[in-house]
Amino acid sequence: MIRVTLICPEPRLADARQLLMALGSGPDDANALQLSGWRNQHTGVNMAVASTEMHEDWLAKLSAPILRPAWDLGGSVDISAANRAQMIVHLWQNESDLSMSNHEAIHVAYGIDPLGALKLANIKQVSEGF
Amino acid sequence: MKFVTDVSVTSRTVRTGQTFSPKTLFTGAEDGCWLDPSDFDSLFEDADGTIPSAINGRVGRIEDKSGSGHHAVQPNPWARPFLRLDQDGRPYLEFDGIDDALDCNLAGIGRADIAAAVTCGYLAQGNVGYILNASADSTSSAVRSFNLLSAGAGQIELRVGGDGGGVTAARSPGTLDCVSASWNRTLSSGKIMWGGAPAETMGTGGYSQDHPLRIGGRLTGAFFPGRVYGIIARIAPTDGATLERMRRFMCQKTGVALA
Repeated sequence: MIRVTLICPEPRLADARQLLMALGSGPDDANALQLSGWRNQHTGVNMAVASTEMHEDWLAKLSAPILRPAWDLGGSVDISAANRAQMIVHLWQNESDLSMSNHEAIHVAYGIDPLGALKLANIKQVSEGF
Repeated sequence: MKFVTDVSVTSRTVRTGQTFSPKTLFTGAEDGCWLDPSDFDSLFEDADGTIPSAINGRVGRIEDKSGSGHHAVQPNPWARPFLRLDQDGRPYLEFDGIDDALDCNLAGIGRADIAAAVTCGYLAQGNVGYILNASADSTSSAVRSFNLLSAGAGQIELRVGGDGGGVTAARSPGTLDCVSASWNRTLSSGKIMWGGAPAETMGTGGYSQDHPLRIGGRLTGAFFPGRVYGIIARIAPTDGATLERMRRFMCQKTGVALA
């Protein structure tokens, strides 16, 4: 198992959810990314984040051609949208791998503490409500 | 003389928590929940409760052992905490501070017309995040009708009824801890005990919301990075002796030293 943290700019959220469904085990995976107060400190863009431990093969699937998942008998996953999301995925596991120049990228940090990953990516929780 | 001796033995047994079961807190009309990560039979990987949780596996459902039916669930697989064992073999739920939370359909803790008691064993890492929350989707700190918040910089806050109620205490990050509190909103009175320390008076504020209890964050975010060893919430008037039993039980579960 490996820790995976997703960081997605709000404008790319719809496509990213399709990608997660395509890689996941059911429609609930679409709910993984939520806007819950995280924001890019450089751009001011709201970011959806999610983190959990995954089997290592999930990362391999992230880089492989996107196919309709076996569970999706009704055709609910938008494969075109999933492909669009896959094309802007930026995989990294430490600061030297990290590039923040593409503000449209969907970041996938792996093998790193999730709060540390957000800190490196300049993603902070909006302080209202504390 | 024999009667006095029996009372003494019984009293000592209660104080050490060896025979007390939180189930006895819910024998009448009391509402509430008892969530116990050390009872593996009550833990499931999925929210529907069909796949038993494993050590180092996700927890998508904890059965409420109070008998009230307030099970804590998380349908989103990415947002489920993990079941871990600490260095002493005690089970706990690990919340990542990113998105992990469990929703328990226990309403009423934050309401202005109720009396309640809560005890929770936890370990906060020092970052800001809500360990427990029962306030609605509002961003103002003034209207937090119930929360246990790791407020950062070694501060833990238990608040009842908004800014006018509750207590903030300095607690060391990374340390096993337990908080126990009871309050009566209509009487504007309460007490709180941090770890094994003596009881302190706790005021209650005037703000009221009725939102189901969430563990690990609030609706608007502010997720908690750290451990939860157990929770007992009881919506009923709770006297000092009963709160002490709850505290001792939870401290023992969590490994917190008692005075």
